[in-house]
Amino acid sequence: MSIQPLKTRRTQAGQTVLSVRDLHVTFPSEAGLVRAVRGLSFDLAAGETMAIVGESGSGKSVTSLAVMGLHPPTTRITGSIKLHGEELLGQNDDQLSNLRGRDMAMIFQDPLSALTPVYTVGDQIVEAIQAHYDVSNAKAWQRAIELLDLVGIPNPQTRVKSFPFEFSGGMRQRVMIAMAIANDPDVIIADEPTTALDVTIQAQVLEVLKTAQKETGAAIIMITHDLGVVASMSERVVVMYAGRPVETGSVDDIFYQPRMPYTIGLLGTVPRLDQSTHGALPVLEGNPPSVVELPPGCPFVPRCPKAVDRCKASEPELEATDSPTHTAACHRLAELEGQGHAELFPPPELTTSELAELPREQRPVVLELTDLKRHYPLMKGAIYRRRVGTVYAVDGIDLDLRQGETLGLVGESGCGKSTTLLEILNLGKPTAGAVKVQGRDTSTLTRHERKELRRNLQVVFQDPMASLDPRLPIFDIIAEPMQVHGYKQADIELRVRDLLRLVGLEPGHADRYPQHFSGGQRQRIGIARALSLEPKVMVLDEPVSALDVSIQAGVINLLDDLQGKLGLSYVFVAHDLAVIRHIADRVAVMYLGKIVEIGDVERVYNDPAHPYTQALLSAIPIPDPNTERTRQRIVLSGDLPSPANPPSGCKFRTRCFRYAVLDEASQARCRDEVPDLVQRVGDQSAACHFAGPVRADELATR
Amino acid sequence: MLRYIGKRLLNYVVLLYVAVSLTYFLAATQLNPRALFALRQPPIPPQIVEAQLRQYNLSDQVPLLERYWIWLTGVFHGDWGYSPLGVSVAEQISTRMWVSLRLLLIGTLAGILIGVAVGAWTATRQYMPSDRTITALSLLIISTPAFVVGTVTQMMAISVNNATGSRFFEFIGETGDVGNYPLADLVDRAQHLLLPTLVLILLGATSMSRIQRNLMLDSLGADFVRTARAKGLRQSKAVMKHALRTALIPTGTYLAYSVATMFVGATFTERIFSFPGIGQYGVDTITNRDVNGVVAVTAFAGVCVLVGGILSDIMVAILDPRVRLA
Repeated sequence: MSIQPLKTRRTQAGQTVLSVRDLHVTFPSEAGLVRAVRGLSFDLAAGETMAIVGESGSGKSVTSLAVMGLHPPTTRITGSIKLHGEELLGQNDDQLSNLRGRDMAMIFQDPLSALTPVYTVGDQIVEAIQAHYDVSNAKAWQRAIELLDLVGIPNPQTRVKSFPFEFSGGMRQRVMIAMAIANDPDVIIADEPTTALDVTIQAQVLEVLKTAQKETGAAIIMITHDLGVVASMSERVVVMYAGRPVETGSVDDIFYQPRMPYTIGLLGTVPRLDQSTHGALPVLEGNPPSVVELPPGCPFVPRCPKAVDRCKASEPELEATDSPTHTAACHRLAELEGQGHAELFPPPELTTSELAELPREQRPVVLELTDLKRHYPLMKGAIYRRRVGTVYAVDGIDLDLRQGETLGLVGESGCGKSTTLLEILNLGKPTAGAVKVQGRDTSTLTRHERKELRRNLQVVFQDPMASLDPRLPIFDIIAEPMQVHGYKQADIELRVRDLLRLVGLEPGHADRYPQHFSGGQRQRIGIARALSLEPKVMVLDEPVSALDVSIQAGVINLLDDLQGKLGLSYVFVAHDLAVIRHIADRVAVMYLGKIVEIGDVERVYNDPAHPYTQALLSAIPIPDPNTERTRQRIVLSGDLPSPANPPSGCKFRTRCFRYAVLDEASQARCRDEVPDLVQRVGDQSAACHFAGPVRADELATR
Repeated sequence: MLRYIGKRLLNYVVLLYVAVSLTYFLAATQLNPRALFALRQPPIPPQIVEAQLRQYNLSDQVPLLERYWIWLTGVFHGDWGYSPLGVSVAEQISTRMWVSLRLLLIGTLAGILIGVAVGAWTATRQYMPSDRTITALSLLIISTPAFVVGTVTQMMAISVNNATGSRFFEFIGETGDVGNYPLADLVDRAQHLLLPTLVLILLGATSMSRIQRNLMLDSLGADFVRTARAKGLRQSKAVMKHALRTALIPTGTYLAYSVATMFVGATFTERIFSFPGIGQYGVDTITNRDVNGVVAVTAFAGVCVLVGGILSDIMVAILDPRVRLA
């Protein structure tokens, strides 16, 4: 698997290939001038990987578009961007077009929309080659096939003629990578390349990116908000905040000796997959500032616990810290040396529940699923709709949730998490099996009983923007459930104020509209609404995944605190396994509509028994460069099979690394016999014929 | 694919049968051909009127279902019936169809093509003076009723004719005084076609350009255009090859549909320029209480719509691989 280089490198290894100096990017908006990037400088050496980290609005994506020259025409850019020592700013579009795709290439975030739907992937790769080199069609197609092979697309000879819609998201991102490396670029800019993908697919795509880099020797600028990806991929890091670089250095400097309080806070607020952290997370209070009308001074001042008057007066420049390559922008660098996030951002006190004292077995069961199934008919045809099969969305799961506990539900998209939630919330009759809320079977309820029971079961959605009606003031939003259930108006008014205070919002803001609140605040409003009817069970569907890293911790702490105060039980769906480890007491891992492993969070995370759980945990990059360097990763092959046509026997066997090394008789068992959930030691069960820790020989074959 | 189209065709035939039958019941109960003879001077004896109505299966004294049955069996033998005054409906439609086609084909097609081009172009120049000017002009034309546009064009043509003292612009009927030179017949027809075609282009292109502009704006902002640019394609090529190609998918269905339905959609243009086409016939049949005519025009329009539906399905399948292969 190797491709012929098309050209000789203009910049040799070790030398600077891309040099950015004092980059300023400004564009007009309705609200005023957006100063998206304010003075960014860096040097990128040939063949190295540099990460630009920051939250939304920090200017990282704007930087990538400015380097590529793909910014909107109204944008004003000053400073200097030099590729191979040649200035790019001021070149016209024709000159830049010659460089784009040949010397520098870009991989975008959303692979579903980044490929033109009406051309085959081969057409699109060939187009990228022929845009720069006068190559015959036959040769270009041959190269396209080699590139697809390199990025790990099976049967590249036939797949090259496929259209983008015939590929899954992960496969499309591989095609994007193939296209980006088609002309051996010197610089590849990857803008959140795996954010839209599942963790197992993210692991595959990151591997492909590493392979591509090894093959082409290109330098990579990795733009991301995911600190785990930074730790696993990059050698150097630039941390951006409000359009400014606030800290730069080697990945070890940034992760082990962060100096700027923002970096310290950011690293501290992320829950860790590899550490059991209970209690509150350190919190970066407040929100990233708007870059439209920034006040003078350091933009981090409103959130910084150590800000002094000097910080408000002038914006600090980057200056060298312990080593000349590690720079940070803070007026109090010297004074704050040696202070970690424990000193700077002490975690808040949380209320602990009295229930915590009571052993799990003695607490009442508030929600119980027995052999729950939900099948959907698979229909085809626009006019002649006919049933062509069945989607086994949820295919027999058992769960119980006891008072005051949190059950995490994890798995890749398409595994049935959301369907399970919908079945619980529906309070109706599932395809088979039963849902019991506080001991009542939901399939036998009358309309009135169902409405009464619904009070006990509330939901918080993923997207805080879409789940609040923008035309209602938040008072009405929070009051609505109580009005439906016939609360008295005077009680409602008191209660809305109490609820706002409870979730950490100002009661005086009740007459404002959702648009006046930030994402984290809106999620708090959603939580207040869910709490208004004093539910016993809260169903949380990815409640923090749409929020910025520094905002997540506050919402997670709030949920923790509310559980202690109100004795709530949570069903918490998340794709972020680190968040689940932090907040959940028990975890259920789902795969194709089945639970493959369930049990106490510590047991499952420390000693996973099912190969899928092992792969899932292994796929997640940990924000710790040393761990990442020594870790041996299990990368699952392929995508999730279709839930309409699941494999026989064990549904996971088609992607299982353990199955691959079993002898013939054992493999036959996996093929023919559906594994049941079998209890292991204590509170942990796994559905695998060969459950147990990962063995060295299983990894060696990969 | 063939089986699929066959199935759809069958579905359409059933749909058409139901629609036409319902129209028959509506027309036969609501239109009163007898009234046509009531005001004649000298009065016609009722027996003669009744005999004539019965001859053409139009008498309201015959039970509705019986009339329907007679009409239906006639249709199956290719006989679409007669007007109360005895004119063959089938003959009318078959001659007028070609009149409509000659009048409308060039104008409709050119209108769509020009509309697509203008729409796509203005989208690439969003909010620039050229875009704003074209937007304002096309909104003006779209909000002007078709008969006003037609009449104003005619008046302008008359003043040009008067000013130059020529008869360059012809706008009554299909043909006029044919000159005495080679291809004179063709030149005469072209002269008569010029104005109505202009009006059709104006009306078609303006609304099409609005649609195409919005489609194009959607695909100009799409991620895949940025991908194409990141590969090193020039702006113009990325727009033509990636944005326009994708934005043409909905246009394709619209094109197929409007070509098939143009026969019945230009009543005003036909009337103003005195082209005795199908659109005019549709209105005339209603005012003349011509039950069989109304039903036949409805059936014809129905066939056009269904053919348009099939054509646009085929068009989408050609343009969009997601439909073709999924």
